[in-house]
This record gives sequence, C-alpha cells and structure tokens, in this order.
Amino acid sequence: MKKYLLLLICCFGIARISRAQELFPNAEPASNIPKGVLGLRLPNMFFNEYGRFRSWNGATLRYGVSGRLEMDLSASASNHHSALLPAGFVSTDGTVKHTHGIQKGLYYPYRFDGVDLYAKYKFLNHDHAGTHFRMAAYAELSTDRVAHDEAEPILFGDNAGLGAGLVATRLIHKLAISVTGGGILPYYYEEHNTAGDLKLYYGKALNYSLSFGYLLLPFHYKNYKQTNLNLYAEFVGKTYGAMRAKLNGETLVIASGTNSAFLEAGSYVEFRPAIQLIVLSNTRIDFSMALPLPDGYGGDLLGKSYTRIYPVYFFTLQHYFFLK
Amino acid sequence: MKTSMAKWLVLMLLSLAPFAGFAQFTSASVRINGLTCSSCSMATEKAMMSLDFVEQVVMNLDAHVATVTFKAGQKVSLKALAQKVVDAGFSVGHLEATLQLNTPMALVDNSLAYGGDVYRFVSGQYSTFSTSVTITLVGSLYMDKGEFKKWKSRVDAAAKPTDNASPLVAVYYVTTP
Repeated sequence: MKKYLLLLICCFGIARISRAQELFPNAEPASNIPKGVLGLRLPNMFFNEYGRFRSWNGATLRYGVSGRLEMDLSASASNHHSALLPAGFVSTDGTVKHTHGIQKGLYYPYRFDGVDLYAKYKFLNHDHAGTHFRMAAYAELSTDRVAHDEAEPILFGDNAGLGAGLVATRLIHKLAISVTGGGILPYYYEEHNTAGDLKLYYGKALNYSLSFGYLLLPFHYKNYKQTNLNLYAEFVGKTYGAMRAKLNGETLVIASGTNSAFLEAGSYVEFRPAIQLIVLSNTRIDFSMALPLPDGYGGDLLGKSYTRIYPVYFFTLQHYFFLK
Repeated sequence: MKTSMAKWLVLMLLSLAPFAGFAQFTSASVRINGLTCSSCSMATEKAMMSLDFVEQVVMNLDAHVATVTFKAGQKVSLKALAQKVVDAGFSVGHLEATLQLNTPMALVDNSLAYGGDVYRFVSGQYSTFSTSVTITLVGSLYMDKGEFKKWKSRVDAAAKPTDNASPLVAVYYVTTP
C-alpha cells in the first residue's frame, strides 16, 4: 500500500515541474487522431495463469476522418480460451461451475477473437494556450465470440456486443486528467457441445476510468528527436451484472461456492501504473500493469477482475503514418 | 448601398488581378492552443506542410508557435492554414501574416485585395500600404474564443451583405498587431 501511495505522490510531485500528457495507455482521451492520419496500434496483454503464459495480442488501425471524428478497426487473437467451454462447465446436477474450478492453466492454442469497430466524436473543444477541456462520445461494436466464462464482459478481446460512453479530458499546463464513463451491452455466447445447446448471457456493465498523465522528460522541448518519457497513474474499473446460462432453452442454476464470484455480479477498480516512451515524436511504446488496490489487510480495497490473474502486464506499440 | 457595392466590385476586380506581381504573403506566425506534446506538434506541423503553398514550418515546441514560410508565387489561403490546425485536433490562438508588397497598394473601403480574397480592416483607417504589412486575423477560427468576443461587434459592423456572395472570394477580417 505504501509503495502505491509513494508512487502517486511522486506522480504529483513530478507533475509540478513538468508538462502534462494525455496519451493514456489504458484509456482513450477526448482528443482524436489528426484528420487524414493513419495510426497503427499493437496492444498486447500478458499474465501468468497458474504457470501458464497467457497472451492477448491485438492490432488496431486508427484513422482521423475529421478533426472531430476518429474511426478504429481492431482485431485480436489470444491463447486465453479453448474452442469450447470445458465439458464440466455444466454439472450433471444442472448447475454451472466456473472453469477455474475445473481446470487451471491449461494449454490453449492461439485463437482469433474477432473484430471490433470503434468511433469517437469530439463534441466539445475549449482550447487555450497550454490548456484544454474536451469532451467526446464513443461507440463500439465488437464481434468477438470466444468461450468466455466470466460474468464481466470485455468487448475488445472476449465478448461480442455494444459499448458507448463519454470521455472528458482536462489539461491544465502540468496536469492531464481524463474521466471515462460508459456502458456495455454484451451479446450472448452460444455453443453446441455434448451437453446440448448452451447459451451464456453476460452481465450488462458500466465501465469507468480515471487517468492522470505527466511528461517527465524532456524538461524543455528543443526538437522532435528528444525521446519523451511519460508517467501515468490510471484507475480502471467496471460494475457488471451476473451471468445467466441456458442449456437447451432451460435456465441453469449458477452454482454457489468456490469460484462462484466469477459468475456473479461484481464491481472493481484496479490500479494501472504506466510508463510511456515516445521516440522521434511519433512511435509510442507503453509499458503498463494492472493490480488490484490493496486494502492493507491482505484483501482488495475496491475489488478485482476475475477475467485475468494479477499482475497483468500490458505492452503497446503505436505509430502514426502521415498519408499527406 | 450602391456606393458600397461599387467599391466592393472594384475590390473584387483588384483582388482577381495577377497577385504575384503586386503582393505575396511571405510568412505567418501561428500560436496553437491546446498543444502540449511534441508528437501533437509534429502532427500539426505535418498537417500544415501538406498545403501546396507552404514552404516550411518551424515549430517552437515549448511556446507552441509555428513560424510558417510560404512559397513564392503561390496563392496563400490563411483559412486553409488555420483549418489544418483544427483538423489536427487543435485550435489557433493567434495568427499573424506578413504581406510583402512590390508596389504600393491602395486600399478600397479600408480593405486589401490579394489573390482573389479580401482583407477588411476592422480597426484603424488605412488608405495605402507601401512596402509590407503584417496583419492579425480576427475571427473564431483564428484567435482565442475569449479574444474574439472582444472583436465580434467590430466584425459585425464591418461585414457587408456581399461578404458571402461568392464562394470563390474569402473575406478576412483583420487588424494590425
């Protein structure tokens, strides 16, 4: 707990002597990619699932349609899931048990998750010298269909569905703050396995984030060749409903007990510290990790996500191509 | 009204004369609002460089001021230049441009004619410029919103019914720095 507080204090201390940054690794700012510019982003996520290396790898093409509208097209693959849910997912007594109660850290080959379309429109733009306040609305459509067996929906990676929300970003000379609030309407997952026709209905969710960003280096800009070193402190969370399941049209009972939290309604806020390098004022390299906030007594202060095993590591590359 | 229309027509004809021999925008200074990072500056610089009439952009990364040099003999559109800043996701806080004159230029209706466009002064009264003139653009696209509020009444007073008559003619409201 103390080390996180120390890190936050460092963030604010450094912010007093530097300029702010809003290129958040774990949240989209209300600002967009410039008109006519094509951006390639390669996001990656890694974690250790009981000795098994789990990897999720995405690719996003970003395009600035206008100074206010951005469109992103993404695809991803991962080794997080098997082709079908494990046979024991539905017990002989008709209850549903979470996969981790049945199998942990198994090998799965890489599978294609699906594609994701994202649009963001900046509708408010108050710019001043060295400061701005912007607001944007976003909408997202995901076609991902994998054997995701937690109540929490994840649009870019695990679940098909719709998402939409608002982003507000404030930049005041040396401090950049961004707030995101949105909703997720996940589409159901369906598979035909030996037990029959199984449908999983994931929880509807509210997603939210609070991000702080700072430029550590250079202290003074002289040219575009100076590598930028940015530090971020971000808090990312969700509140979601419980999973429902149906087998051959009959509603199943979600088993209570071990691992049932994976399938129940939940809420969490995780801490994501991040370091970012921007090379030649164009190539962005983000290193980030997600951790639950500790309560000081061995538990989690604001819950945790059951979709991954902490600590979760993120590594993202991004480059802009100026078409003209 | 008829006099005003006649003056405007004269101005139009003057402005449509081959501009290279009379006047040429040589440079501009653009202060960009909302800009803080070097990658944002680079994107804005590249957006401005994509214009055919822009020769060079030198960006002061700390002050967020772009010094733009224009190509000789090419018509300069300051509106297109400002729009590039907006397209890059930022706003123009202040825009000054220097018009180099090869021969003294007379003003009609307190307005300059250049390259088919009209530059109407909303402060001061001018009859002739002899060598060069630096103008500050007045308008919501070209300055801080708060600053523009101070000028809006003057722009409204200077505006003519014919200002938006032709899509081929851009009417700029300007002042001297």
